[in-house]
Amino acid sequence: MSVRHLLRMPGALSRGISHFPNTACVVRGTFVLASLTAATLIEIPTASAVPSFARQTGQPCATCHTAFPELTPFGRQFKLMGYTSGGTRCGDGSAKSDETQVPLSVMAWPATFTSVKSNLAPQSPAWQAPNINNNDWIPGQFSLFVAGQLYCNVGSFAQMTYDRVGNSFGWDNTDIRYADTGRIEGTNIIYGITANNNPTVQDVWNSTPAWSFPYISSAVAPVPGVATMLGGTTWAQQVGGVGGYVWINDSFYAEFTAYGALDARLSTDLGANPASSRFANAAPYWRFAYENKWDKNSLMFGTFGMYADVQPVGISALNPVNPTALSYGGVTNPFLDIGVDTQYQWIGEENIFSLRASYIWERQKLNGQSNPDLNGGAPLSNPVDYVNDFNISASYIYDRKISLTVGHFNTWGTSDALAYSSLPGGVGYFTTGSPNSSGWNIDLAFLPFSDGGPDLWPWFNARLGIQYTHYDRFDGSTNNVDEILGLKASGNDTVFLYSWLMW
Amino acid sequence: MKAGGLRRALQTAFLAVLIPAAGFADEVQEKLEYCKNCHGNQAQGFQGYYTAPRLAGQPVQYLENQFEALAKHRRDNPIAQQFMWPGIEGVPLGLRAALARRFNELNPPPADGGPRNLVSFGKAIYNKGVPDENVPACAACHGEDAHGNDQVPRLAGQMYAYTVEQLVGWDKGYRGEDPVSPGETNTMQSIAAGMTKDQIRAVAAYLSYQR
Amino acid sequence: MNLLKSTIAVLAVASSSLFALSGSAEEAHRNCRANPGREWPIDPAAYVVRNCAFCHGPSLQGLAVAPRLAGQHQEYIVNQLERFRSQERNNPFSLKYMSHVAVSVLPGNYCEVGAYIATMPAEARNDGNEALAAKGEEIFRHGVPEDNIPACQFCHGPEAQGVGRFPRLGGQSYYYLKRRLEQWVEGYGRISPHMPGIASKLNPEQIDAIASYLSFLPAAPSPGEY
Repeated sequence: MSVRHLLRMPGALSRGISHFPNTACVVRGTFVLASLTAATLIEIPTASAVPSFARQTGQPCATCHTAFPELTPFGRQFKLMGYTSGGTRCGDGSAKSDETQVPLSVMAWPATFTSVKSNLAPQSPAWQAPNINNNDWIPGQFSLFVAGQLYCNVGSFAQMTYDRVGNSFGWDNTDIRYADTGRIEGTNIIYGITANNNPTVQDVWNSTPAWSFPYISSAVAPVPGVATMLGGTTWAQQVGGVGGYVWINDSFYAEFTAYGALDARLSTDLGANPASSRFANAAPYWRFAYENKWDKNSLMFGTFGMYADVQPVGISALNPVNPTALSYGGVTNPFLDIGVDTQYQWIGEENIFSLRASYIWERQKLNGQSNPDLNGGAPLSNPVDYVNDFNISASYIYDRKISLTVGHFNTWGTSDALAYSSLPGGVGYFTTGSPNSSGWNIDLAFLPFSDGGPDLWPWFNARLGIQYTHYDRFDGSTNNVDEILGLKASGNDTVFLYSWLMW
Repeated sequence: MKAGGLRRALQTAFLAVLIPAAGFADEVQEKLEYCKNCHGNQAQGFQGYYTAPRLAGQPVQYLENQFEALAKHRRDNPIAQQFMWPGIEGVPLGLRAALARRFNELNPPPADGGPRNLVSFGKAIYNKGVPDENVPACAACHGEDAHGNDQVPRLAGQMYAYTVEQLVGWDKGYRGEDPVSPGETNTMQSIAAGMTKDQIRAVAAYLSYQR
Repeated sequence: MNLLKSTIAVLAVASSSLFALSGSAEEAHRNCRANPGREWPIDPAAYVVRNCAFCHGPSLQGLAVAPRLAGQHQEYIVNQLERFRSQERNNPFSLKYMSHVAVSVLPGNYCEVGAYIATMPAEARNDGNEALAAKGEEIFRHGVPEDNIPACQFCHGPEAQGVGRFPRLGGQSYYYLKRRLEQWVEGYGRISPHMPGIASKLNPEQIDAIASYLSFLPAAPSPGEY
């Protein structure tokens, strides 16, 4: 019986995102290992620059964004101060006028086009979806945001998304904050509390997974099956977390947030697919960063990480009946992610150059899967597996309106012939026991309204782009990828055209 | 610096002879614009952090005397030291007379005004003096219209703060005694000493509005 | 040329007559004594944090390319807000950022906001080139008489603390000061009757030196606004 969904972490895949429920479960007739790989098949692009913020501050998008969603130092400051700058909904005398501000915005991808190089590439479940073929124009998602000052020092970035491909509606990236400023011994501090549903969605740099490049991806293109839990934003919209942070002297950032996994029913109610894993107890997340700013430059070095006592959910030898119950009862698989990242920006009057890089190291102690006694006599994985995610990207943006970004990604890790295989119990489509995937992305985008929208609607913004993704290695192979004879890794190469509109 | 000044003076004289008059006129114009940075674009006086006095309409002889007093460091109040000593260093000897004439020709309205409520009191003092203190009428030397003449400076339209500063500070000896006619510049010392601060402010206020 | 000079003269007279009564409506905002303004009731301390801090820093000490505002004089702040609003101050960053701010902040609150900002303690940015500071000080104090460059301290004060409409320069960011001087040389925003001409006489080394020197100066008191 297939427990493939154990593998798949609904929600997101890699960068940025709003999770999106998986509708197609590829049933392979294999017993799936519930390792925490971010095997999502639908990549949900990130939520982004929000016109309700522009209305609230009176600033055009380019003040806070280089090319949305990448943030400038001012955008970082706006987020750290709780999304409330420029807000008029507070009786403390801080309102600049009596204008009524409605913190709502709408986002749409009315038209997207995906072309995957080889028609042999079957990973995307969308191929299973009716009426969607390769080289089709399809509408993407539509989102409603409650974004901006809610009241006084409390603000939010809360997204709800309807996905056309999956035909479902649910909550998406959400970050609600309280923030304030203070002065200790002549040093400025900004401090705050964040409640959010996706580790690193609260981060203000674009080198951590939730907001990193590529900022938007096709909902129907194939995607590598393995990533670290942070790197693949595996827990996006599957968790709720509360944490506190400080930003000292506009230079030093420290944050601790504790996440709890949402149970299946709550997940479903919120529109997310029930998770194929959860974790016991609270999972701590931490983030430290140091940023130096001078003239038009900013340079950040940071570290971040998370620890989770992962518990696979689904049918197993111990749990033959209930697909929403824990696979191994009280047994947990401790996962530890430790990342380092850096970001550099030079923001000039006409030109912008930015660079981001991150490396995440993950250790998975697979107490459940590797124990033969828990798996009907044969282990399903190594006792310990490591996964590494490396990302680097560089952008050049001209006049805030034309953006060119090139990025390289690389995932590599322990070969695990049992876990990453098509053998019974394996994840189903890896052929070599290696989780490794690598390649590069290039994105060229046009953002005509960064400095202000058309007269009819000055807060309108748009990003129209074309993206190309190339794979050198996919799911551990360069050829015959995922057991498909003749499918090269580069057969999964994807051309993606998108229109991304915000009101 | 002295060597520098002499060198420049010789240079200027040399150039003034060899280069057509237009070159010299340019130099005068440039130097005039330089002075106007602080003294006002019509030399009406200017209030920056410090007060620069009105030079417009000053008698030529008076201005030339001041050039000399500043260049020789006889006029040595702190502001003169900070600004006028370096400033005058950069003015070649040959330019002084031309500059003085240019300033004399300017006739802008007064720049600044003191407290208006003191004006009539100040006018009375200006025209009658303070007999009890042996302070003669200012009009006697500076003219009824306060335009001065020859070595006696014009006071009409002078910056309020500047006039007050000068009168109040006279007893510090900052104005410097002219060794050629020592009695002249000392005249003001006893006069200033005989006036109270209120009287000084009143006269300064009155003068600041005079055309 | 004469008309221009007269216009400049008139402007100089109007703006420098601190005790003169300038009655025109356009001058009303600039003359905060006559019209302190109170278009919309604000608490200035909370107001600047809510509306200015996300670009200028939590206590307005400056952030990235946004200059320090803390300790800047009311009259200067009000004048600049007017010029951002009218887009007379037209260099690229002013147009990109401040022109929008000056519109969303109500003009009737300019004076109050400026008055509060003037009370905020200013810290030196210390981001200049130390090796050039001595040369910068020489120019700041005495100008360059042989090149007809006046002494900056005459208007800006002996510790560059400024007064009234002359901005406090002491402790401002080296990068910001340098760029402002360069912008006048490049022909942007020729509104001030003085600075475009003065800046145009400076060569790049002098600009570097002055901006460096100024960035290290601690905040010094300024005489009461007048």
